[in-house]
Amino acid sequence: MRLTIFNGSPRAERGNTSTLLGDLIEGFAKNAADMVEMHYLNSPSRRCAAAEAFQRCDVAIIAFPLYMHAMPGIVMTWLESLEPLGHGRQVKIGFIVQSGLPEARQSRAVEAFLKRLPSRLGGEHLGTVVRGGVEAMQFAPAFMFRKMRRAFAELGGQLASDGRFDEATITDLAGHETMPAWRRAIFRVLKLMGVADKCWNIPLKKNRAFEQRFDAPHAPQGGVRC
Amino acid sequence: MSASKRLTWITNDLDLQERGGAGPPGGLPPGNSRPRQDSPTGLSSSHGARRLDAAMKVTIIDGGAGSNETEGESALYAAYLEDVIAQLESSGHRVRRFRLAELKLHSCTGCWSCWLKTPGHCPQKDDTETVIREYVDSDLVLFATPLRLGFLSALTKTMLDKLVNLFLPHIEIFRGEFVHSKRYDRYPALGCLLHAGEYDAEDLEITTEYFRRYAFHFQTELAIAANTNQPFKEVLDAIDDL
Repeated sequence: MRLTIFNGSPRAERGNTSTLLGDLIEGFAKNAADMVEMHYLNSPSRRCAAAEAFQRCDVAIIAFPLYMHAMPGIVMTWLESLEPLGHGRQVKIGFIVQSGLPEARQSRAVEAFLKRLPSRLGGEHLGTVVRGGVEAMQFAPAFMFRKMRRAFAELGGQLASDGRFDEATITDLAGHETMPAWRRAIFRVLKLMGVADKCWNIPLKKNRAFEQRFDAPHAPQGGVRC
Repeated sequence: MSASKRLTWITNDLDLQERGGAGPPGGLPPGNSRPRQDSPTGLSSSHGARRLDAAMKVTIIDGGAGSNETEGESALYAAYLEDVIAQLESSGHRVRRFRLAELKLHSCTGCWSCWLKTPGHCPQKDDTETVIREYVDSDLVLFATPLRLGFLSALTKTMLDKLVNLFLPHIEIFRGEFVHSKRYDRYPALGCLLHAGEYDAEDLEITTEYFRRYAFHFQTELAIAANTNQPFKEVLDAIDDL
């Protein structure tokens, strides 16, 4: 099988989407000697090449980080530029949406759109994977993400063997729709202790921007919030 | 509009006059608050003359195709929007419309400078900060967009990405869900005005739900959920009822 992946991360090769897709490709390649073609969408020329590749693909995965509760602007720009697939093509299109905030619910609004999209483009929906809490990979220890990354490799294997994502893996990866009360309680304690904000305050201090962190430079009075 | 918000607005208006800054010269004289007789929608006084103290500052973020909207569906969208703006103005509201198609607008690169390096500022030199300045100084921000592929337009989404700078990186819990804290003390009411075109009621609902989600992150409701299939007056009444 030939798998064509469209990485919609504005951070392209350096983002979390890229890491997760790396795991997926590893799982895919394990079970099949087939080809994987990777495209990025973070520049006009790349979007143009990707739009051409879309016309040739058999199985497509469109992956992106959640920006403001939906796809990044560059992904929608690219989608608007696509020509519908020709008649008689049996193209399957799947999606991976990963978000910084932890709940699956954060991504459900865009997921509803994604489910209807493949038929509009002349293809068939092969599944949408939603996963929260991914931005934490930037600062939390790697062992915390082992299980998640294994699941992405499994998704790759499922694609190679069945041409689709397994519902159980999708459910596992989505995790909680909203955080259970005990997780929220722990967060509240960590917030009170100042631990929850550390992941932001450490880089803010490193960038010498800590004192300015609450600045509201465009407020009507041009003031700084205290 | 609540009494306190109204007061804030009047105060702001006076401030502007004192500073000799933006805004219509001399603020809003009562004479301006009557609907124009030649209103393009033909709406008469049933819509009502507004009192000065109920006037709002409305910012419209227009994600349509811009001034090329002369034919077919996009012409219908453009005409509807023009009518809404004319009617709002004739009711005494101050309206500023940003046509995204005509702004210089780069895509968010996910660099997080606006959170972690230059808080509140996007490092890209484009029109983002002009929009943000108006946004946080508005009583209502209305996202107007034709549906594309059954969702908001890419232009609208590109703009929304840049508004991440209206939040702080820091996270809190609101109604049981994680949200980023607000950077500014005061935010406008939020609304959307969608143009379905060739898309159906389910697409309108999906896109409206998206804007509800956006509003939730600002810890508010989506105050206006309108589309151009609705009678014109419903949209205006909804805005007046804020």
